[in-house]
Amino acid sequence: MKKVNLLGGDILAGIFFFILGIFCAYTSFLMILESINKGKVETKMIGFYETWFTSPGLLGTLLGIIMILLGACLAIQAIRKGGNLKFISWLKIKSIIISLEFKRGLLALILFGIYVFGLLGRIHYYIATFLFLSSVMLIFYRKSPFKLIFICAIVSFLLTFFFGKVARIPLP
Amino acid sequence: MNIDLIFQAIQQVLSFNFIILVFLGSLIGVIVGALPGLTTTMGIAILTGITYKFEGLNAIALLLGLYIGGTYGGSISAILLGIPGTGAAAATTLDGFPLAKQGKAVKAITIAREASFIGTLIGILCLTVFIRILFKFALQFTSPEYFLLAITGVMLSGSVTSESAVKGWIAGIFGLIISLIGVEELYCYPRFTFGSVELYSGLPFIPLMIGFFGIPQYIDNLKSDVDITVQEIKGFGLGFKEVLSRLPLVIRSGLLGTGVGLIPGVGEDVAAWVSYETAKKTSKHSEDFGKGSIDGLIAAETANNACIGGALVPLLSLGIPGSPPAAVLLGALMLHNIRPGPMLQFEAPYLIYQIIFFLLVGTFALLAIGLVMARPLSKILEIKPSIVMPIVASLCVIGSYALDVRMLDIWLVFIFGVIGYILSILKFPPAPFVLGVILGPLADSNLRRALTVSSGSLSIFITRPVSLFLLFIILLMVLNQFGIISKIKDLKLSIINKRKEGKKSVK
Repeated sequence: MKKVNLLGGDILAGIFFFILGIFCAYTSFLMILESINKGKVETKMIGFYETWFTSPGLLGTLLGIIMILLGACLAIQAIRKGGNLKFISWLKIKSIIISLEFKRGLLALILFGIYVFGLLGRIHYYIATFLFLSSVMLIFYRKSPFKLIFICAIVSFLLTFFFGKVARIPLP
Repeated sequence: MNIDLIFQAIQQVLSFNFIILVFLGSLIGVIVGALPGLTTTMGIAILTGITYKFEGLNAIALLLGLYIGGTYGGSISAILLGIPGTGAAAATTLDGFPLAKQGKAVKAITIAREASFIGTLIGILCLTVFIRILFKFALQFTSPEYFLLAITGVMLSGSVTSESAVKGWIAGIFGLIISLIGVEELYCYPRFTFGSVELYSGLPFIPLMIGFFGIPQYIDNLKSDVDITVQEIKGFGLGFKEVLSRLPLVIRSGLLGTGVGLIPGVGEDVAAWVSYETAKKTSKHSEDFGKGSIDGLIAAETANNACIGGALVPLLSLGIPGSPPAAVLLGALMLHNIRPGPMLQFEAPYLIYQIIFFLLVGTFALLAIGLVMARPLSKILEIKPSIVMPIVASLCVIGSYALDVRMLDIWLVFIFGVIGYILSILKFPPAPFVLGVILGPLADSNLRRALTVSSGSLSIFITRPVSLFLLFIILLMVLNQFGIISKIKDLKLSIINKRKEGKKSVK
């Protein structure tokens, strides 16, 4: 079952990279066209012609085309091995969402996201880090809360003091 | 070899300060390597950000110490926990953990330490010998060779580090595309910046690496609530008897490890597996492998540490890293205005010998720290990931912010952390991506330079022998991946069989 899910993931990944390849190749090719059009008129300031092979879009076009081929290849290989997109059903998604592992992983990510986007740069680094560390440890460790809060306070202080004051590294 | 040059180089760094820094780096490396969830690559990335304001040689001493310590440190958790601390110690787990379960934890740790020590020395010796040869060879490289070398390196890394070469190549190409973001150097033309001035300088390498390697580990370790059982260590281990009594195995493993390190982007974990499998196939007691075989343990640990020296050869001589930690080290060197490549021997002639000196000090530091820290580390290993990982995440933030003092860098850690996590679930290897990001600018500028020299003619890539050879390698990899080579072999075999049948019927 897991293998089928991975193959299904490969199909999705293949489609994603296929689209990424198209975007990259198209955008880069426009840069090449722009270079060729500019090259038809001598640039007075620097006095040389832009050409397709000096264009900023050259490597991007090449990589985009390769990505299109590889993305298609990945999706086709996965389909040939028996993969399908049937796993994208509400029941399947629901079973993943309600699994404990998924919830723990998502919560860990959300807490880090709140730390990075919500706390840092808005409140003092020490307080932001203390809140982050204590929330993660209390939620995931769940034992000896007072001991954990004490550890978080000490660790946050040590990080702020050692990196901020001793090593003089700028802190957010 | 200029002996005066070597003495002058070493004289500059033969001070208490540098030796302490290497020892400190090794200590940090051993701890980072030992803790499952922390990798050497991540450790080097975080420390690069933190040591950004250090003087160049000081930072290099610390980072090289971490590289050596981290590669060895993974064996400690592999043996005591059955969980490799780093990818490089995955093969060590197979025989190290069974030995620990048999009550021989001290013996296993001692053997791993001595094997790592000798492996690192073999790698350093090969580095000293090969780098001079490669410098001479690399001076003949021009733009077409550098472009194709970058592409070949990414594709080789993709082929070797992944079960599916297509996934490896996609990861590499994705890394190359990411490297295009920003204002390019020839016309100052902004590529893929979407009008954002913040992206004009491109995506910074170190925060990208910190996010890509650090955050997936943070999520992985917190999502599963596994109880850790650490095997007990009784006694004290010293002596090289077991390792030296298997000298041919040690030397072969060391050379294999160094050889794998020479291949761009492949790294210590592949080196360990290649050596382990070779030892198993050539052993008279292959049935013991996986059950506590000392040969298996020695093969894996010697090779993964020997790979360090091998990985530094293409890094210093060509500017192409031989492993993911070496790739981050390349970023660190560039941050300190050191440009690895064939010109390094002229621009910074002392540096190569100073790096070799730091590696030697780091090797002895590994021995000392491994001896002293085995028991305290077994206590540290008992700390739950839910305590360690949030602290690591905070260090990721500090490491990424310290470079340019921008909130964007911290946000990139999060974004690339999510991307890295999704790619790891889908089994896309990280090494080709890292290589792609770091080699992208090299590939871009050299492609355009090569075509400028040839006025747009593609023949420049096939008229030069090294370029032609590299093109041949790329073609071989593609044909092999899509089964065309095996189809050609089958066709050849069927033709030969038909001819034989034809001859028999005539008779």
